[in-house]
Amino acid sequence: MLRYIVKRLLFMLVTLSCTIIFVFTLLEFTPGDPAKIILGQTANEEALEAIRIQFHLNDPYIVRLGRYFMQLLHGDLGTSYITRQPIAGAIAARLPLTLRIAFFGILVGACIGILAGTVSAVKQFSLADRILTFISLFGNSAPSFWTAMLFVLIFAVKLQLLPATGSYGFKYWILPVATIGLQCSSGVTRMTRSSVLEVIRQDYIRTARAKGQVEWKVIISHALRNAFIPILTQLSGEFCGYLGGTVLVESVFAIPGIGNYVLDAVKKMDTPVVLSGIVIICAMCSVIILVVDILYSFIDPRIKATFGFGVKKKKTAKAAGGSK
Amino acid sequence: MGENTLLSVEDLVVKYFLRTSTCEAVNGVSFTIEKGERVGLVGETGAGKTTTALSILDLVPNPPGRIVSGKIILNGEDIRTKSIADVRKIRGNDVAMNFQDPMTSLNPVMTVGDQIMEVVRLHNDIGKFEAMDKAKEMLELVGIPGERYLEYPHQFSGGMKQRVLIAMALACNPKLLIADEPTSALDVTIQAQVLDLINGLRERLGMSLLLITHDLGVVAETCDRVMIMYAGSIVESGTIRAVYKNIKHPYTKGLFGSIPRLDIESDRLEPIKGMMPDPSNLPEGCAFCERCPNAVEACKTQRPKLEDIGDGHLVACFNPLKEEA
Amino acid sequence: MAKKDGYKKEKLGQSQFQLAWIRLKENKFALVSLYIICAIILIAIFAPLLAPYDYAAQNYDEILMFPSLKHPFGTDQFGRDIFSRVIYGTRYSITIGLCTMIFSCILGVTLGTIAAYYPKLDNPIMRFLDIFGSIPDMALLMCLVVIMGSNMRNMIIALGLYYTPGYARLARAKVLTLRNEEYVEASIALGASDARILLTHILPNAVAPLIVRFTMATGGSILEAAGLSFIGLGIQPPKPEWGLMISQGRGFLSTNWYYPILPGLCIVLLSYCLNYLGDGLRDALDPRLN
Repeated sequence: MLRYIVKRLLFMLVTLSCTIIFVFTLLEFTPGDPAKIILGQTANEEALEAIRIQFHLNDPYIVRLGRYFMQLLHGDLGTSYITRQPIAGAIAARLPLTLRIAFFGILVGACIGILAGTVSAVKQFSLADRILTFISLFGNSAPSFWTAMLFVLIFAVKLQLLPATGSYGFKYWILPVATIGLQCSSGVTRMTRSSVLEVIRQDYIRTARAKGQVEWKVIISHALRNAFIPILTQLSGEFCGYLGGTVLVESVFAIPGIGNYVLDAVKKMDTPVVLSGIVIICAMCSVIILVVDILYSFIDPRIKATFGFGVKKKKTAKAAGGSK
Repeated sequence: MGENTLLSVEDLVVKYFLRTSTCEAVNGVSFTIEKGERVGLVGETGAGKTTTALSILDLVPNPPGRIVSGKIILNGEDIRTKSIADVRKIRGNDVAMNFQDPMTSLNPVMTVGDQIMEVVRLHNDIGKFEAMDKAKEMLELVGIPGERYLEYPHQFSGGMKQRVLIAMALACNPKLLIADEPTSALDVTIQAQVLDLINGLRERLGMSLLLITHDLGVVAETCDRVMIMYAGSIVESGTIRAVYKNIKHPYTKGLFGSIPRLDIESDRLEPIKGMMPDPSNLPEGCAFCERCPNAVEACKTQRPKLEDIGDGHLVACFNPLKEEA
Repeated sequence: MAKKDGYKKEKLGQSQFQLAWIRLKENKFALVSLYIICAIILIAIFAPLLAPYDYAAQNYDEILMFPSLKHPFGTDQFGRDIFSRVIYGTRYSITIGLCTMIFSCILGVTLGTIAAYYPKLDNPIMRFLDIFGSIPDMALLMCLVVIMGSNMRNMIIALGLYYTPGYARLARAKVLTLRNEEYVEASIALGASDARILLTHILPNAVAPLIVRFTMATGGSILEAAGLSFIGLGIQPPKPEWGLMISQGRGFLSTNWYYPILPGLCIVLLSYCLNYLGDGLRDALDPRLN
């Protein structure tokens, strides 16, 4: 089991490194002179040359790439062209905000989605199914920033129940989380519906009913447990999407998260921020995918067995049998 | 119907209502099973055997299937009139059913012990540890070491999975075990083991057995009585001796003729001409008419009913076969 | 009996696509969605004839007016008629959706087919696309905008590149399965060239899931484009793109709610229809999946 985790970890690091190289190379093509971005368009040539030396901008591509990796290993994410401040500090302050919205949004979306999807699947073709499908498509069809504004309109402006912007208290989180939750629930509902539909046709569901099990327990203990893996895959995909995608919601609610940070940098051509911001986002995605992969093996005993965990079980069983 | 009757099915009609057609799966089937009796239900694929069995436990998939009419009397009560909660109390408890494909009939993410425990705790008010002991006991009963109750279905072979399913079915000491093709998906050597197991347990626990199969040999070895089913109706039934020695229905004759026999010299097997009619388009008269060498005028327009020709031997035919020399 | 015969007649001699079309017609939602999408396409084509005002016409006497008969969707802070702008906005959405999809479809299917057909190129192509696809959507798009600058053409290229891996994977999987079918082996035995086999045998059979993805991803790309324009990285003002209009109306949410909300409603309508149509197409082309 441990070997599997280590192997996956190494694989993740390799993939991540390739992604970093890819993004770094991509950003090499940014138009404009970085030195002029730092000092402004009107700076004189001497100052520009000094800046170039200070920021190692004249070094060849490979050297700069290597330097970036070395910096990463030391936790240094580079320095912003605009603020001249270390990027790591800014990201450390902003990342938790984004993570909070994304995480709770996914949680809300998952709860609503799994419930709606299961009901939809169990009562396939009924009125409830059609209504739920209609509502769930809403999350998929409405742009998140528009839904956010709609919520603000209804709850902040008209009903005056919740604040529109800011991020310093629980009240402030409700609308952003609701926005993400609504959008996320759409995908989860659809995935749950199709996954449960497939599982419900399996023979072991019939066996469970033939044992005299109550219908809701058949659905939850037997069907959902088997349907869960594709749903988990969907959830991890959504989370990764939201790590970058919350920029739209952050924009509406004026939340200083990582999305907004990278957006500002893009507008100001602050390449190091864009680079490190995307690198951090990709790193988080990789970690999530790794965690979910390992979670799979706990949920599905068939996967667990493939990676040597079964050996341990036999020992336990023998011990239990031996002590009888 | 007498004191000793455990199950009595009367005029059962089950149909599958599909988008473009209606499939008449079971057409007026009636039979009884006595306490401790072993009955075989034989027929080709698509004859309606599984649907009949599913109907007893109200497990016919509800869209698109439905029990249209009929009575299913268990221990004197018509269970079709009972609420679903009461029917659940019967499932796995008074009547247990085993399905055809053991490979897919067990929940892959639950241990076999848990799955047996589930049925035990559903019908008995006992604690978790007692149920665990019972689960281990059932596994031992079917020849699997008790410690394996912690293992998952994928860790068992096909034959062992079938044993687990049998253990699960018998865990609450049912009065009737319905075994739907218990050996079709298994190797021949394992088949014999599983049949012995079922037989042995049945004797020990004193249950009735409804064995559904397409294998006449298995029925001969395992059952007291046999019912031959064709296109949703029972065409012949009686004790093994009566039916096997004195075949009356042309279809039964055809079935026997399709099996190779050691005691008769013959060059070729004699399959029955033609194919079973499409259950969504059954003919007006006898369903076997087109393929029947014995067909008469009446067969084309009327459906024959089961008639007792002596000693409990029932045949549904307007022109049954004569006695064999 | 008669009904059965009619059903049988339906089945004889009709291609897979004709059958799918019949099935699709039975799905009322999908059919209505198709009509609405066609209507929107027509609106886009005939926008100058349908819009009551010029989308850029500013009129400082009539700024921020509520919806009325004269201005069905009201006016914005420059006095421009929002209804007309929404009508012209259909052009952007439809163009972006179609161009993005066509671009990514052609590129993706080509890459996927090459990867499937020439095993030596399989690994490098798919690994590269994996890396490409491992970067979340907004992050990748922002990155591409930094390099290319924000205007419509670049946005189409960026979105097209973003959707390419999906098509590539789909095409590759389909080609790999179909390549082993017997009718392909027969063709090879008859001496057909690679290109011929691909075009006449494999691609027509791979078309079904591609059509479904095309429809549904179009909806996705329209949403992404609106999002990019909203944060200022897509279409630039004063063009009447819906996402941009929502962004410009942001400040007026509490006073003139119709300004940002109504263009969004159009995005929702178009996406909904594309989604329902995509669902319907998937059910029609492969009913087993329902």
